[in-house]
Formats: sequence, structure tokens, C-alpha cells
Amino acid sequence: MNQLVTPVIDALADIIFGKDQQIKLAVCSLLCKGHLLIEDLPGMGKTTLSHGLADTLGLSYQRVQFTSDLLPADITGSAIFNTTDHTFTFHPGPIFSQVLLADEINRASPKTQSALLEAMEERQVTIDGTSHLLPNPFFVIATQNPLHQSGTHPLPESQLDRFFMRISIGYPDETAERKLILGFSPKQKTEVRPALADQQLLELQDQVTNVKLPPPVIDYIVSLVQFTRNSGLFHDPLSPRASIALGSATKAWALMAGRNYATPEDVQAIFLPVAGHRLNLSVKEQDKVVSDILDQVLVPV
Amino acid sequence: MNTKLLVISSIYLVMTVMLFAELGIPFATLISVLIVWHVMQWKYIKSAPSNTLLNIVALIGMTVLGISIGFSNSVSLFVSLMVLACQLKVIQANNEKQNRQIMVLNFFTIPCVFLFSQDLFTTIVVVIMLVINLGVLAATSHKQQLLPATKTAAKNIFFLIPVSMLLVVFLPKIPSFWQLPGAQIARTGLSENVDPFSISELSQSDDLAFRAIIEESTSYSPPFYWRALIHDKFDGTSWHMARGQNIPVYVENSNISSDYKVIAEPSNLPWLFALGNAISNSNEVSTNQFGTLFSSKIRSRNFEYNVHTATDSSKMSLTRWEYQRYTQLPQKLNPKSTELARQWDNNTQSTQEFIAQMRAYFISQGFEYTLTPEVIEGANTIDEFVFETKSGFCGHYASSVAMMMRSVGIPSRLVSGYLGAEYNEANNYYSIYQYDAHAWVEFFIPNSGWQRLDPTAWISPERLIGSLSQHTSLSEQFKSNLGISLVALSGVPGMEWLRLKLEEYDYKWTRWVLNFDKSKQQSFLRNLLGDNAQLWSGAITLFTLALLCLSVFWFMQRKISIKRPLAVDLYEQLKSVSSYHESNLTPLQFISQVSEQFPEHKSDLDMFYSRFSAARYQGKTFSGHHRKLTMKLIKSIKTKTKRKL
Repeated sequence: MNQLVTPVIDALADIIFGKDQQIKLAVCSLLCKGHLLIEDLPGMGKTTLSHGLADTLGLSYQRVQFTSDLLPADITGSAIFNTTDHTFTFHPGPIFSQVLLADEINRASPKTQSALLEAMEERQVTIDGTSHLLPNPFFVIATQNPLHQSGTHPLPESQLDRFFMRISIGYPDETAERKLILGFSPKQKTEVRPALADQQLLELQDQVTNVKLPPPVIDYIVSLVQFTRNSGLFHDPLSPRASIALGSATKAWALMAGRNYATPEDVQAIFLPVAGHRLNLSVKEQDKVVSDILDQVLVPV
Repeated sequence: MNTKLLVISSIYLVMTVMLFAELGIPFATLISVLIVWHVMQWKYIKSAPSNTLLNIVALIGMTVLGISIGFSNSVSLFVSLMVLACQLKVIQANNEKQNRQIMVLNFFTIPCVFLFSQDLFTTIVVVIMLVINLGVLAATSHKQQLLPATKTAAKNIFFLIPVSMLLVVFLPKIPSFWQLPGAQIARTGLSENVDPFSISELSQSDDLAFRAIIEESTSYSPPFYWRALIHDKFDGTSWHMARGQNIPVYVENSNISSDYKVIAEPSNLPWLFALGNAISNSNEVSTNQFGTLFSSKIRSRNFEYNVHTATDSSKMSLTRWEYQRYTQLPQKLNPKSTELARQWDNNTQSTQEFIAQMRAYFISQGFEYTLTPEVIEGANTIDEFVFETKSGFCGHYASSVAMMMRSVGIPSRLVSGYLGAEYNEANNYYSIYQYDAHAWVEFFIPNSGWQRLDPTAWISPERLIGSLSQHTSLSEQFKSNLGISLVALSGVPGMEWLRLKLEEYDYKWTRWVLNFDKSKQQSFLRNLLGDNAQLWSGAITLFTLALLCLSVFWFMQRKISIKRPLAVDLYEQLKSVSSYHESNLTPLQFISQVSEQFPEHKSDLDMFYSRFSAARYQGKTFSGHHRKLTMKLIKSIKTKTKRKL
């Protein structure tokens, strides 16, 4: 394991029990400067994970609970008339922080969703003709409930594509559950300390770009992407943006494993969270479909 | 600045070294300075100099060459200006197009070395330079590394060798449309005046003078006296060449005894070499009144001619005018020698007895043969030599003896040429080197004609056998005079063998490649193809060229199969012998599955995976050692998998 990443993972493992894979994927997404979507049923620890991520990475964060009456200005901020000097002054919204925790993003109206997603892509907010740059690093960690729940506005495909990864946490196993019941005291919660300095995160993100993608691995990514396009099984095949995302996630995964070169195993590890939501698969069905794809596409040697 | 151009500069340096003897020190200095300038420019300045500066340097260079080489020697001047211009262009070049111009021009510049020498060594060096030039051209135009580009160039040239050989043999030789004047090469040859007394050290060279092929060895036996020049006028210090040596005379062919071939090296003198009185049926070779051969054309290439020995067709008596000419001596010089000769003449009845007296004198008075004699400066050179210094080389003895014979009225003359020959048994030919140059005396006896007399043989009889290089008592002097050369190193074991081998290959090159001229080609084709030789050879040439074009076309059309890398190959083999050959696993998954199946091979499998991942994912190579280990692993996995099934 990479020696900078290990403490982060360890710290998170103290908060979310028995979910090492999900923790690693979440960190991997942030190493690629990608926004993360956590989709699961209520009460599965989505918010805990997102808070924990922001805490351990030592980033400033704001949390917005999305509701159906939330307006775009509630996230981005707005210009308010100042009565003393008769001017409009800009009051930045919660989006002006390094990490924005968007809870239950699919409960907000499409208008608000799109305002957020635009800011995610551009990394800046324009209000009354003035552009305001968002801080760096900037991540959105959004959580959403499965779509069949009532009172949700599903994110359109184009906006789902902007999330680098979608992960779901899933039920804990018995030992983890037992541990949870036994003690998750408020005391323990305050003990989360940043495991990385700002600078170190930027450094890690930089290292990701230096990881080698050898030809067989690139071949593998290409044949996976081609399979989704040519097999006719998918209504929404993977886009070139998805290929780029697969490449950089593979690199980040290799870096986290302490290597400076990627292997086909790295691709397999990140394929589901990177491709699942882009193929418009539901959390329930994606496991089976993705493992079918991995079975059918030959691993280039 | 292009780093590859440094290689081109070094090619010019090699050319300069090869042409050093012909183009002289000013040229070598000029080119060396320019090369140093080029290196400095490349290392420190990194940009091309201005055109004004280059033009000034070019003007200076042209002036230097014009003065040092001179306009009379037009070929040397032309070649030196060519190299100068190319070197300046190398310094100036700052774009791709100019680089390519230089390299293309080099295909003309480099073979200019052939104007001066065509022996095997030169040919090899020129070919290497051309290959390097082609490599640099390929490297610059295809943006390749120099070494792989040169390898490809060498390979391509290698494949073209058979084609060019075929063309040389079968393509009819067309006479040249125009000709350059030959380069003036004087590496070998004899001087027109023999002046031994002003020489303190006989400069010797191991350059080849000529070769001889004597088929009927029974008719000729050593010592071989190769006559070339006749000297008949003595002025007290030196002997001058006889006039009329380049005027042909008619010789009756009736008395031809036997024949042999001589392959002369290029020299800028017309004089050719033959044993005794000779005639020749080769083109542009004639006999003069002295029975020696000369060529009506000066050759800048090797040149082969036939020689027949005419059995003593010379006159049995001399005219009055001729008698005067062969007994001419400067007045009042060398009184002591003249006096000594007169005494002997008074005591003897015949010329033979006179010679015997002379011989007895030279043997008894402690004369020595040396290659490093003292310089004799006085007017009475021969007196001083005969009575005081008493040591010298062939020229001293021949000169003294001829003078003494003339002083008593015996017609005599000096002959210069070569003595001896180095025999190559394997190929049955003789090599004669410049250090075999010799001078001896011919005297006339009425009714028996001209007789040879070699006074050097009295002093140093072993000089008559073989070549000077085989002369044991003089070996030290001989070697120190030669300087560094393979002959000088002949004491070192293996060197003599090496020298003889090189000499033999050079002989074959000269005989079979350089001298393959029109007449040889015609006779060869006639022997091979019969009467319609011209037609057939044309047909063969055309057919070959067509075949070549077709095969090149086919070669370009072929499908290129890319070989699987070794790591992949081994992985596939391992997979095919295992029980997982049909499952779609990543390499790591596969290896861990197999090591679960055969825990005893876990370390080997892990080792293989680490090599495999290094080769496939980290751009390293899979070593041959690991290949062997993996092959062993594959074998045992194979047998074990079979057993389980």
C-alpha cells in the first residue's frame, strides 16, 4: 500500500466497519479529482462515510441537505442588497468549500441539481455576470436514495456522467454489525483527525498522473468500452469520458496498491463503480451485469 | 546543431588521413582546424555561424589550397576543394534540407578517394564510410537513432552486393564519354637521375611497385633484375637518364622465348618493368632502343601487360657516336680512381680480367653495404667513396664501377630498376616493393652485346636472393628506415603471416576486380556463353533487373507478422498446459489459481509473475535465464495437470 494513503484508509476503517473496499474506492475517486456519488438505502452509513472522508483528508466541508424546495441560490450563494452603501454584495453559499456534502441529491428539483452539477464541471460559479472560482481541491460527495423511493427526482444520464464513481455501501456483515451495536459513542466520533495535509493530497493527485498505463492495460480498457458499445446489450454505452475516467481510476488504484504501473486487476477493481452509473444500471442489477462483462471480455496478456 | 553531423565530420577526417600523402600538410591542417571549429560550434555555441564569416573562411581555404597544391595538379585541387566545401557546409547546416544535401553530396565526395588509390584497404574504408553516410542520412530523414539506422543501411548494402557483382560481370562495359586527367600519384617509381652521393639515408617505402605472374617458372630464375631506366650521362655526381627512352622501336617478334604478366601499380611515370630485353603485345606498351618497356599513357590505375623476352636482339657493335656516348666522362674529375683503373687496364688483357681486378679490389678493401651512407660533398665523389668512406648502397657501387670502366674505354651505362621479388606460393605470383629498387651496370663487349654487371653483389651477395626484406644482415637498418609498417614489424610473430595474407588478398583484388576490363570481360563472357555472348549477357542483365524489381515489389507487399513478446508467449504456454486454459482470468488471478492447485510451485510461479509483470507492465525485458526456468516450470505443470486429469 502507498504509505500516504494507508493512514487515510485506516482512519476511515475506524468509522465504517468492514467496508474496506468501499472506503478504498471512495479515496480512489478523490485521488482522481473526481466527484463521488454514494447511493444506498437510508441508514446505511452514506453520510458517515462522506463526513469521514472530508475529515480524514483534512478538508474544509459544508453540508447541504437537499429537499424539494431547495433553490440554486441556496447552494451557490447570492448577491444581497446592502442598505448601508447601496450596493449588492455577494454572499458565497455552501458550495465555496473544499468538500460539499450533498445529502440526498435526488430529492432536490432538477433546477437545483443542474446548478450544482454545472458548478461541479466548471469548478466555478457565475452570479450576476461575475465568476467566482471554487477552491482547490474541490469535491462533491453526494448521496442519493435508490430511485424507487418516493419523492425523488432521478438525475438525468448527462449529469450522472459527471460523477466519477458511484459506490454503494451495502449491509455490514455480522461482526461489523455487532461492533456497531456495541459502541459507536459520540466520543469516538470526535476523535477523527486529518490523516493528510492539503499539500499531501495535491501531491498524491499529482503522483496518480505519473503512474504508467502499460499497453495491455490500455487494450483491456478499450476492449471493455468497445464491448459495451458493440454488444448491443446496453442502451447507454460508455462514453469517451468514461474511458478517460477508467484510465485515471486504474492509475489511482495502482498507486494506492503502492505500484507505479497498472495491471488488468486494477481495471477490474474499479470498473464497476466507474462504469455502473454511466451504463444506467441500478445498484441492484449492476453487480451481475458488470461481472458478466468482465467474464466475456478477454483479458489481454 | 545536429549531433549526427559530427559523424560526417569524422568521415572527412578519415578522408584527410587517407589523402594525406597526396594533398599535403596545408590541406590536412585546414580540414583539422575546420573540424575542431565544428566541434566547438556544436558544443559551446550551438548555432550556425554567419554566412559572411563562412565565405571569408572559404576564400582563405581556397587560397591556401590553390597555393599549396597548385593549379597544375587539377584533380588533387578539385578533390581538396570538394572536401573543403563539404566541411564548411557541415558547419553551416542548420536545417534538415541542408543536412540531407551534405549526405547526398557525400556519395560523390567519398568515392573521390578512389582517384588516388584503388587497393583493397581503400575500398573497404570507402565502403564503410559510405555505409555510415547512408546510416546518417537514414537517421536524419527518419528521425531514428544512428546505430539502428546504420545497421539497416549496412544490411541493405549487403543485399545489393550480389546484384552489383552481377552487373559488373555481365553489363557490357561502355567506354567513358569523358575523362578527368589522372591524379598525379607518385608513391612508387624511379627517379630519372641517380645521385647516390648526396643521400645520407636511403628512404625506403614498403609500397608495392608491381606484381609479376610467371607461368613458366623454369625459364626464369632468381636473381630477377627488373630493368626500367637507362642512365648514360655522368656529370661527376649523378647519372642522367638516357634520352629517347619513350621512342618506340620495331622489334622482330621471331625470337620470343617465353612470356609473363606484370601488373603495375599506378605511378605518374611511363616506365614499365621487364626482365632483360623485352617486347610486349599489350596495347599502348612499346619497346625502346634499350630493350626496356614504356607505356604511351600515364596510368592512374593498376595496369596489366604481357611481356615476352626477346633473345638478345641488340646490336653486336656500336657506332662511333654510340661509343662516345657510353664512354663519356666529365674532364679532370676523380683522378685517383681513373689512375687506379688505368693501372688495372695496363695489367690485364681483356674486359673480363679487368672486371676481375675490380672485383678483387672491392672485396679486399673492406667495402660495406649500408642503407645509411655518409654524404660526400666534394667534387671527386667517386675518389672519396673508393678510397675513403668505402660504404654505400647499390648506387654508389654501380656509379663507381661504371665510371672506372668508362675511364678505360669500356662502353658502360647505369640501369635502374628493381632487384628481387617476394614469391607467393599459394597464388604463384611475385610482389616487388619500392624498397627493392636497385641500380646496376651494363657494359658492352663487341660481338656479344650488352652484359650485366652488378657490383653490389660483390659486397653483399645475399642481396641477390629474394627481396631486400629477406636480407638478414641489414634487417636492423632496413626496419629503421621503413618506420612503422607491417614489414618493419616482421619480427613479431604472426605479423609476417598477416602481412603476406593481406598482400595476397590485395593481389586477388587487383587481379580479379580492378583489372577486369573490357577485353577480360569479353573473353570471360565468350568462354561462358559462347558466340552470342553480348546478346546473352544483355538478356541476363535485363532478366536479373526485372527479377529484382519484382522481388522488391513482392517484398513490399508481404504481410508483416508481429512476433509475440517472449513474456506473452510463455504465459500462453503456461496457460494452455494448465487446467485453466479456457477461463478468462487476469494474469495475477491465473497465477494465484495455479499456485493454489500446485502449492509446491508457488515460489516459481510468483517469480514468473514478477518477471511477467516487469516485462508486460513496466517495460523491462524478459531474460533468457528466466525463460529457461519458466520452460522447466511449464513442463512440470504440464505433467502434473495431466496426471490429475
